[in-house]
Amino acid sequence: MSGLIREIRFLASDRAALLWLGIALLVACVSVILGLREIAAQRAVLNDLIEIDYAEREVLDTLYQDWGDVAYYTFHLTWDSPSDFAFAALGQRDTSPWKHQIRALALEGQIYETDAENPDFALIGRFDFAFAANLLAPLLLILLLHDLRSAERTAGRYELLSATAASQGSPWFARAALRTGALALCLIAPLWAGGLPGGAGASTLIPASLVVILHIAFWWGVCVLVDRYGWTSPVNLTALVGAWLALAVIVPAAIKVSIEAAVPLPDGGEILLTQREAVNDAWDLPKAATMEPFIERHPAWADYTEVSQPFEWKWYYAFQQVGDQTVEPLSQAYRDGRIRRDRLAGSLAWLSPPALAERAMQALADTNVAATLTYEQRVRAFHKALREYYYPRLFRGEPVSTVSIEQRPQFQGKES
Amino acid sequence: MMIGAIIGKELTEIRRDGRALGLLGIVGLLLVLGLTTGLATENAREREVLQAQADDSAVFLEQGEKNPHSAAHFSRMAHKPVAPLASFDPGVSSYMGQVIWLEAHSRNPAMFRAAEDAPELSRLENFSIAGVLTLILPLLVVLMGYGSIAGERERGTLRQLVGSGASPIHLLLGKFIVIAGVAFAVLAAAVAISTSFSLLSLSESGFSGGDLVLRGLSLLFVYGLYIVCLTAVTLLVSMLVAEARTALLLLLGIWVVTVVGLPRLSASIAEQVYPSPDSATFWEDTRASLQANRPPSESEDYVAVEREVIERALGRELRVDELDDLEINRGALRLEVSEVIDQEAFNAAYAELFANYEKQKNLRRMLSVLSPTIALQHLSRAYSGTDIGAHEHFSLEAERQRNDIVRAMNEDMMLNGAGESFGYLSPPEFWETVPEFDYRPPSVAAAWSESARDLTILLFWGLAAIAAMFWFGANRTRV
Repeated sequence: MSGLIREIRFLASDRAALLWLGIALLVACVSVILGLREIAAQRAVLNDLIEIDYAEREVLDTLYQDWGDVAYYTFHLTWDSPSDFAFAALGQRDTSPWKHQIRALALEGQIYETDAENPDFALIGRFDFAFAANLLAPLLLILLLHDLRSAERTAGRYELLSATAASQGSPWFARAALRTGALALCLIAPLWAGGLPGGAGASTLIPASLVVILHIAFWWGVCVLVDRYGWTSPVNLTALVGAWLALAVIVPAAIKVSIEAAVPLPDGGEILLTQREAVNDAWDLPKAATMEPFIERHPAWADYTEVSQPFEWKWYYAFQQVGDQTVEPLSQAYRDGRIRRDRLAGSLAWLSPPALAERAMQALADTNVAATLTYEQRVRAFHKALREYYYPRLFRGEPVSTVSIEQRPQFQGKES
Repeated sequence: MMIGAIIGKELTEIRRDGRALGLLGIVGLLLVLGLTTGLATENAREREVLQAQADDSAVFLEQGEKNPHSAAHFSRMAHKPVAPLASFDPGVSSYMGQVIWLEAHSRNPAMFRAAEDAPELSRLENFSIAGVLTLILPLLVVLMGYGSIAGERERGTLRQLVGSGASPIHLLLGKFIVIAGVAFAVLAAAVAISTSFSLLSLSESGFSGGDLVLRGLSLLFVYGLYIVCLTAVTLLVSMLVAEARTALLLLLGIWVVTVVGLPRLSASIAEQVYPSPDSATFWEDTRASLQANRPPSESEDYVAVEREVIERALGRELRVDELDDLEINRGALRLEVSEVIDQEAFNAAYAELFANYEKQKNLRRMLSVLSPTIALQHLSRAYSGTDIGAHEHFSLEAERQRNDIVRAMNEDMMLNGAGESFGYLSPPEFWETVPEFDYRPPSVAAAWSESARDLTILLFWGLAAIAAMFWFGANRTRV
């Protein structure tokens, strides 16, 4: 106990160590505050948009007399609500859309639309807790631990301290453990302080804290390993920063390049071009060329395929559907490729603890690639439901009514 | 003479310092890796763009007899060419859509961001030559310089050097020349190799060789300024602290905060002060603005646009009473009038979006007073042609092209489809008269002008760091 008190006193008198711990606390606090503000802003945007979506639904039957017009002119909001832990790891939410306004037209032309966020910031990345804990904190730990033994060696006290210690390595272990623990506390305390009032439960905060502790412990191990060589403080520091560069920058970069080369994806533009061609060609083709492939997929409407006018809405929406059907193999290959890339990244991330920790936090926050793909699938399912709602009305030529509009599918956001 | 001797001594010390040489080797290796992966990625992307352009052109030209308005909905795709120095600094290329659908009635945003397909590991892994130079070059400078003064003082050789007649200023200058010189040699090799490869692979991207060389020189200049800042700050810290290890610790702390932390923090702050509009709100507002901007079809404003559209199509002025009697396709006239009226609202909406990006950039610029890395990032992307400004230029030119091709199709139906309403079909040879998108990217002069403030900030940083180093060197050097 007295040893611990001695080490605490020693730490309290080390101004450099206090500076690095102070920076860690500040960085963690700022990242949590910025993350909470970002998620609050995203929720506010969603609430506004959902309100507008409901308001527009209320007046639909007074605006349009034809189901074709209703389907053409009305947008349907879909969204991926941020989880209560998303503030800590914003993940894919700055590169992939988390809301879409879709219509009952061909989906492939709508689902890849990009958001209007500043691409510069997506490139740089957000200053979130995951960044602070997984990329900055190891550097701060290196600055804290790199000279525990080497400084004493330089000062000529190492042999004396080792000889008078109760066991080999104990003063260094206690000193390093205290500093590592203090750093972990500087990170985890703001996480809990911001997370609990923000709605993130202990069931998320505990595993997140474990990720932080394990990751910090890994870097402590690296510091111990380097320290064993008995180098001077500057050499230790250089080697440790080199290790950080290798594990946090070079290895992830190499993994990314390798995965992109190993798993090629269909060109996104090709999906759009093929779908656009299919939809556009339909205008000039005989109506049967559209209705036949449509009926193959929707045999229920086989008795309603006659198109006597130059333009009929049912035919228009049928060729939108056929446009999507045409690119299904490409679209599926694109999606499968993204899933394969993500799985490979998950396996290879074990080679880079910072990347592994970041992916773990994104998984806890539901802001990873898997969450993005799940949202995309939910949009597809909703779009399918919309079509199934409109087709009976379009093919049977039913009049627009308030009762019928009230039955229109409504996108359900996931529980946060 | 004295400076020459100091330079010789410093070079010998660097040669003997295994760590500096080791890091130099690592930096060299990373630059080669960055260059090869950058070139491979950008060459593949360029091939994709050229192939996609060719496919798009073939499909459009071979559409046969077709109603021109139907064809205007099908329309063309504008593919953004790969910036020639994207292999040096890919900038926001992966984070902005690469293709714009030039559809009638709508100014569409760019689609398909490569970043969405990329495996997510860590955002720091955006690996490029620019990334290596920005993140790791400071470490090289720090390693070469942290012990320059403090180490000499600890060993007692500083006193000997001053005693042998070397003034503190000469001493600083010699050390400065060696450290900055080595870093600059690494930089020059990286820029020269990158520019040379880009020159060799210049194809149909629309960039000229001269422009590319000027871009390379501009990059050399701004990264050179960055090296000046780094070297001066390193020597300054080494001069002001008592021990070399304290200098190293402090310098690495500064690196963590200013190079790794602040660029990200500044982006998050800028996003929160000037939030980007979300796409749903952007389109809601744009649709509302389009509605508000459309005059009633009987109004004077509407008739004036009708007259302008017809005169432009006929290539002559209309007589006062001619408008109602003209033998034209009125449906096509309405389409073109709506295009002309909507252009203004679309352009205003996009101008506001890009103006907001600029506000965010300005806020980051203010924060670059705390970190020259932020100003350098802006300059590097601007000179490589991979910043938002370059994308805005492409977006504006694509919109001009959309206006031109939709107009060509509307005018064909208006002048040749009188009395046929939407049953009019353009002949197969008509599609060849629709202009191709011949995109000419902006020259480096535009990047110079747009990033003048970033350059001023970086210059200020360089001059301030040099002035501080020499002032403290002359007045505060403890031996």
